[in-house]
Amino acid sequence: MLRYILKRLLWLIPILLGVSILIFTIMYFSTGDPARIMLGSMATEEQLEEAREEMGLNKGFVEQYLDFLNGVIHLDLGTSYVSKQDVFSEIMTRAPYTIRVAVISLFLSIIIGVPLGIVSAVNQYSWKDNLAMLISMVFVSMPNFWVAMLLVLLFSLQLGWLPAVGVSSWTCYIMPCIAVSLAGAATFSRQTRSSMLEVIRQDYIVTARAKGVKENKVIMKHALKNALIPIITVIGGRVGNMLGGALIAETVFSIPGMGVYILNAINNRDYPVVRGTALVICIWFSVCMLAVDIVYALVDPRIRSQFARKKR
Amino acid sequence: MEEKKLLKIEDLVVEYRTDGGVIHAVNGLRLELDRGEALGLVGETGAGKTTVAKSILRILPDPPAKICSGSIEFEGEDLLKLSESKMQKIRGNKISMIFQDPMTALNPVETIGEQIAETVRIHNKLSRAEAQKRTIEMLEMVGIPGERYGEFPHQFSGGMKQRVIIAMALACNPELLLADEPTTALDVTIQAQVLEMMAQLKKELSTALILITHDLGIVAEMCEKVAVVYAGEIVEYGTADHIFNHTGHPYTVGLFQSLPRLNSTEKRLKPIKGLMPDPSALPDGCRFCPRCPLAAEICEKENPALQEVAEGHFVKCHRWKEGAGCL
Repeated sequence: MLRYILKRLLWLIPILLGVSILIFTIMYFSTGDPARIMLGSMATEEQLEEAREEMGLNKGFVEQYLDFLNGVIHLDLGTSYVSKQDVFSEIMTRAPYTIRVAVISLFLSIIIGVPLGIVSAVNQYSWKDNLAMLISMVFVSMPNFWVAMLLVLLFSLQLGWLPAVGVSSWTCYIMPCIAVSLAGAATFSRQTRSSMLEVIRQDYIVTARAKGVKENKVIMKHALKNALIPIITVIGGRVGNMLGGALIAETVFSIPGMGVYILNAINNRDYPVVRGTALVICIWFSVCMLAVDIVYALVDPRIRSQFARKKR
Repeated sequence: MEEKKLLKIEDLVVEYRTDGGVIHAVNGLRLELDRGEALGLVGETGAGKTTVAKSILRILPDPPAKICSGSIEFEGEDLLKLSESKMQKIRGNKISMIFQDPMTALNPVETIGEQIAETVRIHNKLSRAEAQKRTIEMLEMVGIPGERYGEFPHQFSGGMKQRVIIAMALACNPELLLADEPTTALDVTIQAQVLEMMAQLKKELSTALILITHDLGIVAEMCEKVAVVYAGEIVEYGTADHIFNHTGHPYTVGLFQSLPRLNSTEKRLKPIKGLMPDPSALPDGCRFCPRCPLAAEICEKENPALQEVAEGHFVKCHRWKEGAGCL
């Protein structure tokens, strides 16, 4: 198992290498001159040339890429063209906000979605099922930026309960997290419902009942654990979406996270910031996927035994 | 005073209500069983055997299944009237069940030890360690080394899984064991082992047994009594001895004739012609009438009653006298 985790971590290297090439190439060939954007339209040709030289933009493609890679290895993602700040430390101060929103939203989605799905499956075709699925349908259909704005309208402008922007206290996180989590909750509840329904009809559930196991334990212990694998897959996939969702929420609620950072950087052709942030997001995503695979093995002994076989 | 029967099923009616219509799975079935007795429930696929067993434990999927009427008295108490929580105390404790397919009857993500120990813990006030000790005893009783306690179902073969299920079913010394075709999914050599083991355990623990099967050979070996089920009704009931030697119902005759015989010169088996009637549209008269070689006019009109043809031997046929002679 440990060996498997190590192997997966080593796999991160080629993945990140690939991602870095991709990001670098896209940025290299994108239109717009960072020097001009930085200095404005009043700048003379000489000033621009000087700035380009300073930023290393006059070097060749391969040379620039190698410079970038060399920096990454030394945890140096360069300095922002715009703010002249070190990108790595900038990301480190911003990442906590984004991760906070993403993790809380993910957690919210799970505790709303999974129980909703279980209730649905256990009471299939009843009014509870219909209601739960209707709620999911509504949740998944609402774009989260729109939900965010509606929330602001209601809770900040109308009722005045919650602050509309900023990160000054924990109450500021309530609305962004709700806005981001709804779609996830809907996805999870639908997945939970369908995989629970599949499991509930299995013979071993009848066996559990025939043993005299209480009904709620039949569902929570025997059924849910077996239904968990597809649910975990979907949760893992959502982790990436949560970052995207967080990005939008950050814009609406003015949270100084990575989303706003990368968005501004793209608009300003601030290459080092875009590359650095994208790379960090990629690492985050890969680590989440690794976590999903590890959870698989914890849940299902059949998958665990496959790892054991590989070891031999 | 007559001693109370362990199990007494009266006029049990079970239906499956589906979009395509009502399926009459069990139609007024009666059955009695004494303590320690073994009864073979014989019939072809779809006759309602499994439905009867699951009705006793009340684990039929509802919907679509519905127990419409009748009573199932166990130790003098009607199981159909018990609350769900009282029923949970009976399941796995006083009545337990062995399922047809050992490959799917075990939870794939729990260790087999935990699955047996769970039953033990639910029904006895035992600590985890005590339950584990009892489980290991049970495992060794069915011939599985105790150190495999922590292994998962996928690490066992089919026959071993069936042993695990038997150990699970017997873990609380039940009064009644329902075995639903316990050997159908196993190959012949393992079948013999499992049956031998069941017979031995039954003797040791003096458990009553309802053995559901379509294999008359197994019934002859294991059971004192036989009930032949056809289209959700019992068509013949009695001691195994008497039924095997004085078969009364033409359907039972047909079952015997469809068995291969080593000492006979005949080259072909004689199957029963036709199929079971569609359980959503049963014939008015005798259910077996359309396939019966002895069918007369009365059989088409009137569903015969179960009549005692010899002491303790019941046959549900208008023409049992003629039937008896044809084997």
